[in-house]
Amino acid sequence: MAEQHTVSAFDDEINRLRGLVAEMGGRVELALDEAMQALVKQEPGLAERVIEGDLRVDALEAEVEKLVVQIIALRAPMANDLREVIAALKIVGVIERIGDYAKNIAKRSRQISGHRTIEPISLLPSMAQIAGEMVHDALDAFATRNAVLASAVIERDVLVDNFYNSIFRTLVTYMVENPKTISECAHLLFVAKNIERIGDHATNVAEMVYYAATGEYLPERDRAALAEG
Amino acid sequence: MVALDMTTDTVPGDAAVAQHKMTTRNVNVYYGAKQAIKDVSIDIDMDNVTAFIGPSGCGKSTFLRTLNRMNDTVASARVTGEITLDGEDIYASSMDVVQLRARVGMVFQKPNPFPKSIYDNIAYGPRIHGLATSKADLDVIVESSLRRAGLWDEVKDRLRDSGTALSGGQQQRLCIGRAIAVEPEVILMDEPCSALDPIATAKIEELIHALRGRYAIVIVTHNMQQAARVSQRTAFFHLGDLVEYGVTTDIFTNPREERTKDYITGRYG
Amino acid sequence: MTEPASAIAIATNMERKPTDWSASSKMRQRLASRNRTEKMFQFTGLAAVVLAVFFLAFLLWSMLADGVHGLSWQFLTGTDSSDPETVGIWGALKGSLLTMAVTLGLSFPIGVLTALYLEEFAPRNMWTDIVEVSINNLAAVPSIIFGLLGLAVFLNFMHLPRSAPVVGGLTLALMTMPVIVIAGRNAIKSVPPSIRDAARGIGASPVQVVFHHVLPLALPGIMTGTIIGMARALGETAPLLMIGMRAFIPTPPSSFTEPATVLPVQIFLWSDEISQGFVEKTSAAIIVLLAVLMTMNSIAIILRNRFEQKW
Repeated sequence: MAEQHTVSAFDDEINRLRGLVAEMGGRVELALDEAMQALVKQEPGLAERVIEGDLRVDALEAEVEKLVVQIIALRAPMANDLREVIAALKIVGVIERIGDYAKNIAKRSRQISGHRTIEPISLLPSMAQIAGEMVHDALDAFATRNAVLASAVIERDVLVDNFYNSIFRTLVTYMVENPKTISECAHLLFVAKNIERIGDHATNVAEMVYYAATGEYLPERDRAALAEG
Repeated sequence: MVALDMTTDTVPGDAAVAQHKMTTRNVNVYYGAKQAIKDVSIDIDMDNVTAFIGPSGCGKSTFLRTLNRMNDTVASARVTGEITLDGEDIYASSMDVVQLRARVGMVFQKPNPFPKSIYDNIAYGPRIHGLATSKADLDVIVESSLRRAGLWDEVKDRLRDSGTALSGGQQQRLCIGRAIAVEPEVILMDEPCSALDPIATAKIEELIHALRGRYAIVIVTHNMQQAARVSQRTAFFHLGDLVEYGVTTDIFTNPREERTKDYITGRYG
Repeated sequence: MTEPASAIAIATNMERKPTDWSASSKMRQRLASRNRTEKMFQFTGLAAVVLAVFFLAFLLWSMLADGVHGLSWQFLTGTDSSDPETVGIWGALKGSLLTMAVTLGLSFPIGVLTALYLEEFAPRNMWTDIVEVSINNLAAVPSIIFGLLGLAVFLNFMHLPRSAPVVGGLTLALMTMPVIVIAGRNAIKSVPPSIRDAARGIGASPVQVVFHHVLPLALPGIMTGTIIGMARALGETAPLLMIGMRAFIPTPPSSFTEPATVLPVQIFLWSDEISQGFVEKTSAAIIVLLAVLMTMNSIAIILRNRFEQKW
């Protein structure tokens, strides 16, 4: 198969698009990681960095949108090119949301500072790690157009959901037992919810990647089966 | 190439044949020793616009011209296989070629109106086939054909002017009007917009859209966007092979064959 | 990577110094030498035209000077006589017209049908190639040969009357036909194939295609060729001498079979006369012949300009 387009400028644009998406993905992965560190290790400096870094993510999203509109207008992409360009457009929207969740976690880490008496906080980094890996793998799958890897990401969402359920139960128990910790726990509950949403978004990205790579939608019953694990 | 059955799902037999306006089975076309078309089987429906796409020299125009036997005039051309119109073999000795071409009309790449008046351009076909019994009849045919070709409002006040004095896009619509004046069942269009500007092209495409259903339309085009815009079925030809034939949306969003994909995404070498 | 794309890549990688378009002395020399060549050619061309026009003008002027006094109503309506004072051109003119009528009547339909058949219907094979070559050769055969042919076939074999316009017409028709066929074929070839496709595409039969579309469009070209062929026939002398159209005819012919003479032969005969009075009459006859020829050529030009289709 001819990998390159006859018009090489088209290839340059597609490569630039992939590069921008990869950069955005890398930045939100890092943001999530740093936000969790800010939360666990109480480093307000890291939290600040995450919040500032989100501006760059937003700018990248705008840049990708512009590039996609330009490619569609000037190159009239077809078939797998078209699917990839559309997927990139949708994926950056989702990544931007993921970035927002990371930013939100970073903001909350400042609220919780000083009250680190709660035990479930130790579960959150593991949960965040899985969600972060899901984001990473989904974007890897996009870069390599790997449908198998994308399916694997979707399968892992159930782990994140399980984490969330268990953290939710624990935090509720905590709040009932120690009403003094309610505000802290509420923040942690939102952090858990944010991470759970990040997992869902990674799943969405994986679904888009699957379509871009194969031209088929993941069948609904497979999705259900995957979700049940 | 693997022997794929490119025809749509139908049970063999008369009932199946009747569903399609035209069918071709294992059609080969040779120019002298060179094989221009290899084993093409395809069905053409009444309700769909069928587009043939492919790189230059892939045989799409050649194949189009076998559908109304325009290749007969090329001395070295030889056609094997079966092509039917309403279940009737068009290459059978009982088939009258002149009659066939009235039933399977054709529009060409370059607008080619006769150097006669607009009226006579349209009226010529009905006249030679005796479709009008009186002058009034003919007037009705001319008006309705020009209306259907979307040209009436532009030319109704100058029907006596020469057809060649019209603009390129108008000339091509005149040619389409001339083709539909004999009420064909199938209209073959061989790159009808390749000599036209984008606005004139859009008007032809709109016209094709309006004519769909009334005539089975087959269009050969170099312009993939055009195939995507006007057709419901697309056939991709490459080096005389029919590589892929399917629903246009599928061909352009998710082609099955690697060669189709490379061509429509602009990777074709 | 595909073949053509890599070729492009190689081409763009090749090193080539940018051309120096500034006014270097080498560049100025090239320009100067090129301009000299241009001027020289234009001058030579103009000289050739002047020379050609000069001879034509000289011919016309000397004919007019000699012959214009010989032109009179009597000259235009009279016939040949031994007295230069009373001779007229009408007998020869009428002979020419009758001969041309026969020539046109035969060569035009036969020539056009031949051209149509060869271009539109005949299969391309060895036989049609032979026919084509023969027709082209026939057009180049010297006219005297046609005269001999006419003498042998029409007079000696078919025993048609001597000196008659019918025989002259037949002989000239043989000579004109190849010209019409060639002109006709060119005119038919110049009708664009798209018109034939258009007609065939709506179900016109081959004969309908030819007679409804090809022939009407080719006709101006065919007519032009025909008129030029006829003009050539009108000026022809040699073959007519061979079939006896050089007799002294004191009465204008009233039918195709009566003895007659034609304009160029008449000029030839008068130029042989010893009597001084015939010099003026010869020039006058040449003026009449030139006038007829110019009229025919003008008609050909008008036909071509008016009916020629632009594609």
